[in-house]
Amino acid sequence: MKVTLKVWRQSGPDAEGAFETFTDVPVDPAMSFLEMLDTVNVQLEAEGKEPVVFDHDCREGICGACGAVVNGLAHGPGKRSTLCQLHLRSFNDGDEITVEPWRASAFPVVRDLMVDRSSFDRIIQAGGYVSVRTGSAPDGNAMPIGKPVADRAMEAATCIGCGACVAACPNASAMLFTSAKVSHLGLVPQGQAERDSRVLGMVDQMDAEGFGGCTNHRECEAACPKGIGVEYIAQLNRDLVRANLGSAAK
Amino acid sequence: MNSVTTIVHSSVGKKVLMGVTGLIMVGWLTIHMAGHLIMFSGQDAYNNYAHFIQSGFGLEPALLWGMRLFMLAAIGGHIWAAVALTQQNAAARPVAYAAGRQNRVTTYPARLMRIGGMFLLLYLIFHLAHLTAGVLSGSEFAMGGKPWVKEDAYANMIHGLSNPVIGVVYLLATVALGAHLRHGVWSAFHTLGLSDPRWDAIKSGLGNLVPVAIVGGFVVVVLAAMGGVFAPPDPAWHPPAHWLH
Repeated sequence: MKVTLKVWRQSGPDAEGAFETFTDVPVDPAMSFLEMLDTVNVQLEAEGKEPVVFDHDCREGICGACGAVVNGLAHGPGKRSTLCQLHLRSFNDGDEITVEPWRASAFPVVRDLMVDRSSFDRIIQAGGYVSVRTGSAPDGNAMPIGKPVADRAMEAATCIGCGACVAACPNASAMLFTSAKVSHLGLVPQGQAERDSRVLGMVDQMDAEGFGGCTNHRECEAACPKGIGVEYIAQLNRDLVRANLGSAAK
Repeated sequence: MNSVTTIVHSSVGKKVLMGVTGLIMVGWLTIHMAGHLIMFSGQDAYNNYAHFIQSGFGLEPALLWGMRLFMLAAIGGHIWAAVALTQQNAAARPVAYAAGRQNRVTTYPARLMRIGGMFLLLYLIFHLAHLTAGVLSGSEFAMGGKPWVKEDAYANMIHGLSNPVIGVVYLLATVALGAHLRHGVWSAFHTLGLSDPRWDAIKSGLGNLVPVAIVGGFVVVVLAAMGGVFAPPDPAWHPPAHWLH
């Protein structure tokens, strides 16, 4: 089968970008989307042209490095899928496929399809950690945690920080990411000591990075490759109110 | 950072304000709707109810203005938060997707919150001018050519809805309100932190029930007024002497 690709090309952060069209790209339905971009790049390099720059690492859907908006959908039309887990069998012969980078002021384009997601790192640095004494590992089960709580914390912890929630949100909001990172620590005992300062710091940083606010469209949840739910956003909201009331009382 | 004031200046804090002011208005609307059902009990009963409110809930006339200012503050806070958040959201994605961002799950009520909210504000101004302040008193179009009489709320309602065009405006506003609440009530609970799965039933239950109940109540009253279900107002009706001083 053959497809026509419209790919966003931008030579640098401040450069003007434009779509480049590759017509009749020969593809196999079993190819992943990234393998298709690889074949385009092999051809470009053979012609002495600049290859299409895109982020990728594990190519098995667990690292969070890859991501692009395909025909208006973050990570493309797959369900709970990263871009690397999207295959050409999801398209038809002759399809025109538009590929663009995540669009958010907090995710500036580095080059082509690659965006700078260090705003996520700064949100983590503002509180997405637990301060612990290093040394030998504690005994397993020394700190009993109920199974339902452990499961909810684990579900939040599956966030790979790919940024699809931001890309898919009508407001380019990072609430799903931030709430998952606040909750996976805030739900378990180890995260209690810094629970208030964590949510206050991370929400402050999230706003400072220029992300939008949540309007409960739930597009993030639908685009998340890990299926993380918006209930963590409600959890963050509650934690933030609680933290403010707590600090006000002190 | 980590300040007590995060709630005030953060996007989440503005949403909390949005949710709290929204729920205040929902509470008010519930009472407003229930009060309208008294129309079915006739002119005396409805006018008595209207007088109860006009006289400051039978206690102190200043209470009515207290209530009005409280609601005005809620509406003002709601609008301020909406404008501030909309600006922040617009700035968060300066470059739109060329292929158009495709929605996977969002609903029309959710997408129409801003435009619907603006329509409801315009309607509110009209509604207050029409039936609360009576500025269209005597208008052939808006009051059926009848005067607006403060104490005779029953007649005002029937005359005010005697023109089907006005009636349709009221029905449209009610539908817009229902759509706004369909997304708003659930969202308010969500924003105010009802995250635990135990609350899901209450969140979606009230999120559906509240809009249906409020819209249903208003629609029944407007349709009854338009369809002549209510007894025509007695032109000789006069407020009891003890109301007038």
